[in-house]
Amino acid sequence: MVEGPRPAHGAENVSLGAESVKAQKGLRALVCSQAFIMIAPPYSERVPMNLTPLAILLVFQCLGEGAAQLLGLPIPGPVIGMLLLLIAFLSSPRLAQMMEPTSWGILQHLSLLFVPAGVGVIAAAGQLKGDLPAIVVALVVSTVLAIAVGALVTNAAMKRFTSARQAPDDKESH
Amino acid sequence: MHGLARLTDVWVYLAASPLLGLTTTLVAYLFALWVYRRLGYHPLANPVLIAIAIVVSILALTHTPYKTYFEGAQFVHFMLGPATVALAMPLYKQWHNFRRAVLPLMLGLAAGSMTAVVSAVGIAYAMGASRDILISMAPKSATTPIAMAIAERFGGLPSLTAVLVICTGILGAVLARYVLNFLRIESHPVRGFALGVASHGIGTARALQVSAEMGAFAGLGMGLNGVFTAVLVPVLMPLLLRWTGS
Repeated sequence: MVEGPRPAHGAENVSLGAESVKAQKGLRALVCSQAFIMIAPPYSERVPMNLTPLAILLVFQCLGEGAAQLLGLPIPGPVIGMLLLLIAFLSSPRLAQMMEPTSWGILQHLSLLFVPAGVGVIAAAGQLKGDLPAIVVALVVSTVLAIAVGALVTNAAMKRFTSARQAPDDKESH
Repeated sequence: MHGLARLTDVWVYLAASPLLGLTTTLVAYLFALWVYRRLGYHPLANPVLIAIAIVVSILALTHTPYKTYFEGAQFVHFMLGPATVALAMPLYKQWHNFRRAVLPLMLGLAAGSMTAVVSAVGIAYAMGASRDILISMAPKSATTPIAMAIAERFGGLPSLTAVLVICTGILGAVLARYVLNFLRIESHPVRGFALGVASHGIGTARALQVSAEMGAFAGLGMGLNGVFTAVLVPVLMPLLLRWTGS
């Protein structure tokens, strides 16, 4: 469709000289805009970053920050906003469906958002130097311990809970 | 010489505008992603750490203060809030898995999360770390945006927390296999959940590479621990700080 009108216009080009430059520009704009219409899907799909979901995310962040301030909660505002949004999703699956593309879109590049803050660690580098061994040992040991304890407790609870569920008679006889 | 002077002028102009900080962040991150992909998504080639290293090197080479850089980068940084709210989506998607086993998962979450906070703060304190570092350390198993918000709220160093959280994620992703095999825990839901609780998104990415089921439970563990840590640390931290006398 981009190639189509070109030959005809090319013939004009020879005879009309300077005027044709204008015409060519106009045509190119027309071709471009038509190509855009042809390629682009209907409105709702065309906008890759729909603004409504973004506004909803910000509104819930505001609600969360507001609640944290108002009630003097020590929990960070965005976390409260997240919980409120989760409640909203559970009560309205349609809202969740509408929010899906934007939510995944932001989360897909979540790690980019840590870079500016992470770079700030150089500002604190001086005061960290002496504490480096403590930090390294604490990180390694506590991560291993957290995985081990978390897995052992979940495993034990899962077994007890599931067996109690599968054998209700057994549970009643206790 | 004249050309060079003009180039310096351009540099001085650009360096003072927020544009350069923003551009550097984005380009460094894209390059880091490319490296990560090229190395087959190896946990040690974490794109955030690579991007941070690149930006830190550029700032050091050009003698740009962090404050100037952050004037541009703050636009990226600001999105952390809405992104945290968006974490409701993965949690919502995993809700059916949660409902299937609320009690065991809550018990495992409480155990894993408390172990992470108490052991990290305890060990760092025993080795003489300062109060700032103890606070920055406490939320390290939660997902980065939540952990940073907690550190900020309690007077820690959010930037240190960001780096600690990522290191925790990498450690978990690399070590979980050995720990869980040693404990002879074979169930994929349990393995995934424990990994997600202890090492958030990076652990979840690792679990997803093993199996979809393990990844699903890791994502659930990550989401639940984000909330749990946000509630736990405010309750536990004053107690821990009192015990440690800092």
